[in-house]
Parts: sequence; C-alpha cells; structure tokens
Amino acid sequence: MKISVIGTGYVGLVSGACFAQMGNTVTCVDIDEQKIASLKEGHLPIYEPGLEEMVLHNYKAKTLHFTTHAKEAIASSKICFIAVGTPMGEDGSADLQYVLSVAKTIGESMQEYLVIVDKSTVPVGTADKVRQTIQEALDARAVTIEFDIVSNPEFLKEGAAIADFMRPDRVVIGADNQKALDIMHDLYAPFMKTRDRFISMDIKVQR
Amino acid sequence: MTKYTANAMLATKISFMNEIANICERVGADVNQVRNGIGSDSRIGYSFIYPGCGYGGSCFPKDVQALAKTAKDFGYTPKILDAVEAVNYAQKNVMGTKVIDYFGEDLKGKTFAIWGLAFKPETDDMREASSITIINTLTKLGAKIVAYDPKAIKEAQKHYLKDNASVSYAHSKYEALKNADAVILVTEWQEFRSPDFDEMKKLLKNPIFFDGRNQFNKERMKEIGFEYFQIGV
Repeated sequence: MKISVIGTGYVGLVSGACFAQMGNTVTCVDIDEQKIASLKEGHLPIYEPGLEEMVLHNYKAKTLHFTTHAKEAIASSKICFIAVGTPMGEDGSADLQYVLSVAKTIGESMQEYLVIVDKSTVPVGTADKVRQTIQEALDARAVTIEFDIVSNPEFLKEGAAIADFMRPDRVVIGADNQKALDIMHDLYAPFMKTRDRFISMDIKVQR
Repeated sequence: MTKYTANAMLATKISFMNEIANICERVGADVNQVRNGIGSDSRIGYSFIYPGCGYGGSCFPKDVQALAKTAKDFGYTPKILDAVEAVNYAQKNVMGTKVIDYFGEDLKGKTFAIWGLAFKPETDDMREASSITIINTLTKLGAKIVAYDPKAIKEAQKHYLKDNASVSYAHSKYEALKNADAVILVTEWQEFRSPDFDEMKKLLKNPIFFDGRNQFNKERMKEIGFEYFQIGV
C-alpha cells in the first residue's frame, strides 16, 4: 500500500519505517527541511534501538522516502497518517494546532478517496475537528472527494518501539464505517500473524 | 480516550507504588519486599509497580494532564488523575531531598556523579526526566554535577541542561565518579546494573550511593562497604 506519514518524530518515524519494512511504500513528510535533509543522509533525530538500521535499509531499497513536499506525498497515497506532536497547552489540554494544520494541508492536497489516520495522541472529539477542517479545505477547492477519518493511537514504548510496533499487543482502530476499517485491517494484518489483535471501536458516541 | 486511559492507568500504577514507597520509608518497611509480595497476586502482577524517583517522558505527564483537562471541560473534576500527577511531581524531588538530608543545605564545594539522564533506559529522550529536577535542585544549592549517560548527553547539552553551568559530562560511568562526594543513579541503564564496586570505591571520595531506581540489595551494599540510600526503604 502507498502510505504517507506526516511528522517525523518518534511515532512518525517508527511507524513509517515499520510499515516500509512490512512491504508498503512509505513517504515520511516533515516541514522541517533540516530534519528531512539529515534523514536523507542517514542521521536520525532520535535514538531508538534498531531504528537506524531499519530506516537505512528501507531508504536504500526505496520503500521509504523523505520529503518536505506534503502535497505530492498525500496526493499519491491511499492512507495518510497524522503523526505530529500534540504538546501540552498552558492549561494542560492537548494543543491541536499541528494536527489541524496537517488536516488543512490534506484537504488542499488529496486527489482521490483517502483514509486519514490520527496517530497523534488526541482527545475525544478530535476526529470530528479533523473531518471538518478537511471538508472546509475541499469546499474551498470546490471539489467533492470521499474520505474517512480513523483514530489509531500508538502504544509503542520508547526504547522498545520497533518490537512493540512489529508485534503489537493490540491495534486499536476507531472508525465509523466498514470500508475504512477493512483498509486498516489489511494494513495491520501482517503485524498480527499469530493472533488477530485488532480492536475496533467507535470514534465518538453521538448523543 | 483509549490511549489516554492506557497511559493514565500506567502512570497511576507508578504513582501509587511511589506513594506506598513513601509510606514504607516512614513506617520502617522495605518497599522492595512489599512489591515482591503483592506482585505475586495475579490480579496485581509485577509490571509497572516498581518504585522510583518519578516518571518522565513525552507521554505520561502530558497525557494525564490532558485527560484531566478534558474531564474538567466536560464538567467532571478528576480526583485520581490530579493526584497521580501531584505524587509524581513530588517524587522527582525525593532523591534530591535525601542528598540534602545527608550533606546539608549548603552544597558548595560538593560534587555529585549522576548516572543516567534519559527518562528511562534505551532512549536519549530527556523530556520531563527526573534527572533534570534532581540536578537543578542540587546545583541551586552550590553543588557541581558530573553526569554520564550512554545516549542522552547530547540532548542534555543541547536542550535540557544547556543553561546550567555547574554540570559537566563524563565519557564513562567510572570517569563520572572521580572525586565525587556521592553517586546518584537516576536511569537504570543495563550498564549500571553490575558495576565494579571496588573500582567505584576507589574513584569516589566517599562510598555513598543514592539509588533512585532500587537496583541493588541493601544488605549486600552494606557488606561491600557502601552507604546506600534507595526509594521507600
């Protein structure tokens, strides 16, 4: 599958490398040009056992790409992961400005049906905000393109991130329709060969 | 909600055990034995009940607070979540307090070796790390710090401790000990688990070991000749 991952922090980089390792074609996107340039030279911004080897291997095999051009990466992918930071705001709440700014870019860039996956740690209700932001951007372009929002929190532990990602205890998917759920299940099935640990749930219960 | 709950649950287990450790310390119990005793109950289990000098990292502190904030936004005042954070905040000071209890409020002329800067082993991540709290507390009282970490020194120099001129860095765990008044273990990297204690005694000014991660047996440490302080004992 062709995948784009927006954000090359801990979660983005590990997810991108592991999806590529499992045979997908992954493009990791970051707005930080210096970060992308050094990733292309094989310098990782974080230390995580096994990650560097996996990134280098897949980068050389051209299954893992790095770019600052979000538009092209999003336009050519079937699944787009939002993996940017959600730092703590002054009042303790999660700051969603980066997540929503990526959502806007997605709306401005997508060309055909796309599954948008929230991998960042975000509070309940964020999927609605992301959906709305994308829809507004599509409306501004005066185009109609179908898309689905999926929540897929990442449970990896720093220090054991590769092992956790390649053999997860469980994969949690929040979705509101079967099509998106099926695509996510296809993507994660190779990571759960011995036993299906796919847990699907609602995005948010409507009241 | 699932992700936040998972992290809040794990953080709760740690803060709960640290609270028990603080009680143990006061009543004369050994939290290591308590941990052993309760973990054997299959309903409780051994994971995430290790006492220590506080959790850090990019997830637990941020996620516990964000979940508390969400709860408040929706009209519920969380009691446990706020306590989990409060216990952890205080826990980061426990090791510093033990050092001050031993050496006094005036630490001018004292040097302490710090083993471990990262918030946990196998990472160079120092976000919200207990090492930052401990180091800044001690240097504020005049102490000098010589720190060693297998991976996180660059992070410390670049960001988290760059404004603290009283901190220098060593290339090895033993180099950090040279003429230090005591060693403080903050991150339980594997290379700190079986150190050469004789070598340590030779290098340290005094054989004093503050262990923020309860890595060693207190009786054994006494036999070897260390004054040994840990959490919850």
